[in-house]
Amino acid sequence: MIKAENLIKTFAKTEKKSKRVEFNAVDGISIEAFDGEILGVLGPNGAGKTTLLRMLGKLMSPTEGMVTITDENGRELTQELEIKQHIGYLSGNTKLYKRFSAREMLLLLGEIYGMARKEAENRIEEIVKILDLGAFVDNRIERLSTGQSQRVSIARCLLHSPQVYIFDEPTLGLDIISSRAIIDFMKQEKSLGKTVLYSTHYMEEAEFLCDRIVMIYQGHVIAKGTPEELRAHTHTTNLRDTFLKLIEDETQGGLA
Amino acid sequence: MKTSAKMTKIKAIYQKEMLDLLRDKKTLIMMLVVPLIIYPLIMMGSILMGSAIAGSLQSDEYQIAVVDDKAQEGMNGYDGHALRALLRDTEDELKYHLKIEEFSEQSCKEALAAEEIDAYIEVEAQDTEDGRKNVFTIYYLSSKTTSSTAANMIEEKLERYREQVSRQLLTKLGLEPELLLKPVEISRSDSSATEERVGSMLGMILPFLMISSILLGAFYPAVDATAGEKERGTLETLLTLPVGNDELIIGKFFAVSTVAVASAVLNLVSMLFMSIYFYTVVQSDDAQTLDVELTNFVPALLIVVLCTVAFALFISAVTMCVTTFAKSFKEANNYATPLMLVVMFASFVAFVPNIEFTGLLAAVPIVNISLLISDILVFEYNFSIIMIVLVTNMVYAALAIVLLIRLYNSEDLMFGEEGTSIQIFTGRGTLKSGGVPTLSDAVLVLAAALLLLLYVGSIVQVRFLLWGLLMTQLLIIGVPLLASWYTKKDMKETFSIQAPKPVWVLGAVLSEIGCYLIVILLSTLLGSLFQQDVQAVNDTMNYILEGAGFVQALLIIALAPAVCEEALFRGYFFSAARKRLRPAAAIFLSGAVFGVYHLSLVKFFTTGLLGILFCYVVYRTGSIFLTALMHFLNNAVAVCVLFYPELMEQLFPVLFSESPSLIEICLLVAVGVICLSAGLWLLKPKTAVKE
Repeated sequence: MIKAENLIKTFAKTEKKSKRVEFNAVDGISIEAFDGEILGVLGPNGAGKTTLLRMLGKLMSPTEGMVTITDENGRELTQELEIKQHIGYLSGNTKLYKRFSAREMLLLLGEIYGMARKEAENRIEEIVKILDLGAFVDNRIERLSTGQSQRVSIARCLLHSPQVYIFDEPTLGLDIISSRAIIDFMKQEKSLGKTVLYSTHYMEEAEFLCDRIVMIYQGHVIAKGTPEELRAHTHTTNLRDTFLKLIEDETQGGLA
Repeated sequence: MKTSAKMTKIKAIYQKEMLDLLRDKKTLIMMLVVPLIIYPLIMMGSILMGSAIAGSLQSDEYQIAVVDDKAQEGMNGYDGHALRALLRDTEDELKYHLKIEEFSEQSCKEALAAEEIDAYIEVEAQDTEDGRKNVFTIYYLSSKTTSSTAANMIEEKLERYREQVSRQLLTKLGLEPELLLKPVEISRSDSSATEERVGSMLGMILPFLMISSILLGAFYPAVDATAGEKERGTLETLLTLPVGNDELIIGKFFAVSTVAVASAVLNLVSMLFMSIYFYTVVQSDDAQTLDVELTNFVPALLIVVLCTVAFALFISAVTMCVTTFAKSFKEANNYATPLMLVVMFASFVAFVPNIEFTGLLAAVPIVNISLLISDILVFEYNFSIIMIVLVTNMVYAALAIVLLIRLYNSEDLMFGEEGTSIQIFTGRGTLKSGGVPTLSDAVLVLAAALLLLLYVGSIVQVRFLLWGLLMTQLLIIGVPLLASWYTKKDMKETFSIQAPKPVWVLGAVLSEIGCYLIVILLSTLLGSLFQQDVQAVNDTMNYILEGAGFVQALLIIALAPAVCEEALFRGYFFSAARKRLRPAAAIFLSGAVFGVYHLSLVKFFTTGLLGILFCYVVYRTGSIFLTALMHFLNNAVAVCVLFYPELMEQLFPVLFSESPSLIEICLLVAVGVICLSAGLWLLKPKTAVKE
């Protein structure tokens, strides 16, 4: 389980006359995702989804607020490195080391995750079987197809058996087959009792995948609940309309 | 966390970086092929070219003419036929041949002008102080290489001719020519050991070559490990791992310095072999044998290797700091030029003759390594200085690593806005107008201006003196103007064009006076440390000012820089730095850049200080007119001192004492600080505009 309380991230941006203006990309968001659930984080571009997920994954440190992870033994962890040890983070920006083979990369990462050599080797064998990497695990990553490297990316997240997965638009720009692999993987991990946080722009995908959804707009949470609850609340029939309705209400509210 | 776990992570990062670097063909080429191929090529090329030039010069036949209509045959034994025979004579040790064409005096002049002949001799009987003699004049064109070579050959022949005539005359008089012509014998013997001679030869070029090659060796891996990671999109992957910034940086740093050290050692080995080969070739030309005891070089080389390692650590860390700012290889390469200029400039110190390697210089980065290598190669060991060099380099490297770890913590640098920040190479049509230049553009513009200054500026200054200085200034303002026009920048904002409040003018003058006093003290202090440097600067100034009037000098030395240099440093560069960096960082960086631009060790500190003050004034007031005024005042005082030294000394005696007393120093500092703080206080920004 992962929990965040009142996260705030302040950025400085330069406006006219070289004046630096501060603004909150994430403005006091509290969020929690439980074991065995997929939590969807939705919102338009620039809503603060990526910043939020980066703070949860400790890639960025929040200006204010705290992130806590509860590991499989029930311990509450708040230290950056401890949290990273229990998170598998995947985004469009987490590229792979192209000059390595998948096996070489995983072995080096295993060392960084503090796994013993033998342990890492065994785990890699396991993952090769799960994700069916056998045919190309020893080829350099630069020679792999998009789908193959996508599977290696999943392998990277899986390597240290984390309790929490954070996926930031993982299926963006992928074909149906490659996104299928990721979606199946998320469902699989959920059934194993892991926590999955997931952001996307594909509403249909979110609708059938997520147990609960958090809707974000301009750094705030504007709605949360199960897809059914959100639909009922906004009197819409599908998540796409729900989304549009919520944003519309918010803009009008802002104008009023 | 346990130390062993930390070590494992550092080791894993190191392995990852090394494997990544070694699998990259570009790194391998930079590291292995360049040093192994380039030095032999350069050396061979220069040997071949040298011997080709020498060969062509020596084996050629030169067309000359002799005009001796006005010579007096028989006077002091003059014999036109004998002279011609001697000129024509092909001697064994002389590889050239002179062919005598017959021309009259008038046609000789024309033939020389038309380059039909290379030179001619006119022999004319004239009355001189010692009585009537035949005077030999060689006519040639100094602008043509073959002509001046021919003139040298003729002179050589004529010397022989004179000796021959003297000999004949002495014999005729019944005297012993050998005894009278050479009553004493002069010979020269070099008593420095051959190793020292080779060492001093290497000591001049080796530091420069080695420092540059370490920089080159470190640069590519540094870019790959920092900007490369961003460009390939693996940085975010790296940040998801449970590894601290310190572990990450140290692992990367060791990988970069491994490559840098390996590259440096390869360079060194390659260079050493080539130097020995080169020396052998040069020596065998003079039919001498090389008696260098290579074993005598071993201790010196070991120390060089040790220093090289320390220096490679330092330079790796510095390079990584610089390249961390870049988002891509292309951008990082733009940072290479200014970095290269600074490092090379500092390493040039070894070329300064007789510079004394003191403990203070031993603490100056880059300079110390350069001097140490050149000293060690002439076998001058000073263990305490070596220790200072080693320790300071380690300390600087450590400081640079600490800075690097902090930079890596900065999310601005890690997740900075996407898109190209180099607009100069972007099509003009796609650019949006307005705003201030990006820092990358500013660095590029600065590098271009500096290169123009170094190459074009120094040529026009030698050629046109004071007017050359003006042309240099126009170049300096031209580059940023052109760049900001091309990238459609807001000129008012980029160059801080804003009218000052009247009270600010007073503040600017006051703070300039205060800063001037402090700078004068500083330069007196530094002047005693770097006397040769000061002398060189003064000599250049006097040379350039020859024949110039006061007003002219005032306009070109005070007014032009006040406009042009302000536009580049406080305008274009500072506004770009200000946008990207925190105010203090932007002010110090711009100040340091202004100091470096003056290309002198002493001036680096004094003008650097001025630069910092000027930037601060622009930062507070947003008006470049104030700093232009301050800059003008500052330079105008210098011009006054150059033109009216006595008057200035009478007016302000305290400024001219070479070794001021402690009371004078305290007084100057006190007055300076008071003026400076009062001035800065007056420079209060306008009351904040309501939000």
